[in-house]
Amino acid sequence: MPGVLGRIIETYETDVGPHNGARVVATAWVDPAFHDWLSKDATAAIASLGYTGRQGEHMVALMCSPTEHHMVVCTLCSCYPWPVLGLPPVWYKSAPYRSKVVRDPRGVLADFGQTLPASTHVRVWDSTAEVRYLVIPQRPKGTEDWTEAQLAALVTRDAMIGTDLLQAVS
Amino acid sequence: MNGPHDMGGMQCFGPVLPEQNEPLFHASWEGKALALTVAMGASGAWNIDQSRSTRESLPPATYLGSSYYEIWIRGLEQLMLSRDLVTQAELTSGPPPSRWHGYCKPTKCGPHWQQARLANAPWQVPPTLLLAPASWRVTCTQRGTPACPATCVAT
Repeated sequence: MPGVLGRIIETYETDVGPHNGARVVATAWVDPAFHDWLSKDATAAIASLGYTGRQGEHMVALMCSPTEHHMVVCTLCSCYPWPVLGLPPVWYKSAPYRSKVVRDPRGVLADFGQTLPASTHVRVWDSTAEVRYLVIPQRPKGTEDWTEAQLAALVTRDAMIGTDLLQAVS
Repeated sequence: MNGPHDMGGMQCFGPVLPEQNEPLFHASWEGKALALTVAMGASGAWNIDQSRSTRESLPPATYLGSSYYEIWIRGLEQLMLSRDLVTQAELTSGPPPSRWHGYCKPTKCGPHWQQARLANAPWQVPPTLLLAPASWRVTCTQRGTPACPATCVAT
């Protein structure tokens, strides 16, 4: 499609997508100073990698740990961090996810074939009109000597929403 | 305001069904719906909260029975109708009204779109502009922003 409509569609088909967020996560895994910055001012830290603008103006990074897991939703509609994840998948915008994840997050994880240890605390974050969340998953065991590019390839979109748990690499 | 969109905690919708290898759009019209909505946001005739409110104010049965991008298009229709940017007869007839001809210059739109995407969000449009009568002849001077996204659609 020619013209501005085609350019808009093309932007989200090629330029903007979860590969951007995967780079943010991998950078946080290998660079402690960036991880610290991301924890304190995610908007600025993410902007330093070149990801800014619409639907990412006020970013918050949620750090997963063995004791705490994070999941993100927009119960009212579809708010989602476009600059780092692109456009949301249908399930994220669907009534089942929006309704269920705040009441039964472990049930939602089961819908994705995932199980968290019972001892891990789960926090669900409901996006506001402006704030956008990016989940920073735990770095998988077995990747200690991996490069940033190798690590980025491991990071799934769903792990950055909180519905996927990255598995150890053997 | 409570409404059918306020779904957090409801229990009647069943399991989440992720789709393997999901395409970005499930039909080409979905991409057009996204692009049209984003482009029309640059008209400055509403802000993002007003567009959300319009979607959420669709009749409940319509909201619950529509796909995501159907809701976007129905919302965009309501926004344009309520601001006299289009008439119901024009929407029904299909082709763009002749009074729109020449208002969009696609060669200027691409760079401006990227600037707008990376800069201000629609909800940062000054309130004074939001209260002004909708117009297709908004100019860069009136918008007062370097990116001037309104140029893409309105001149």
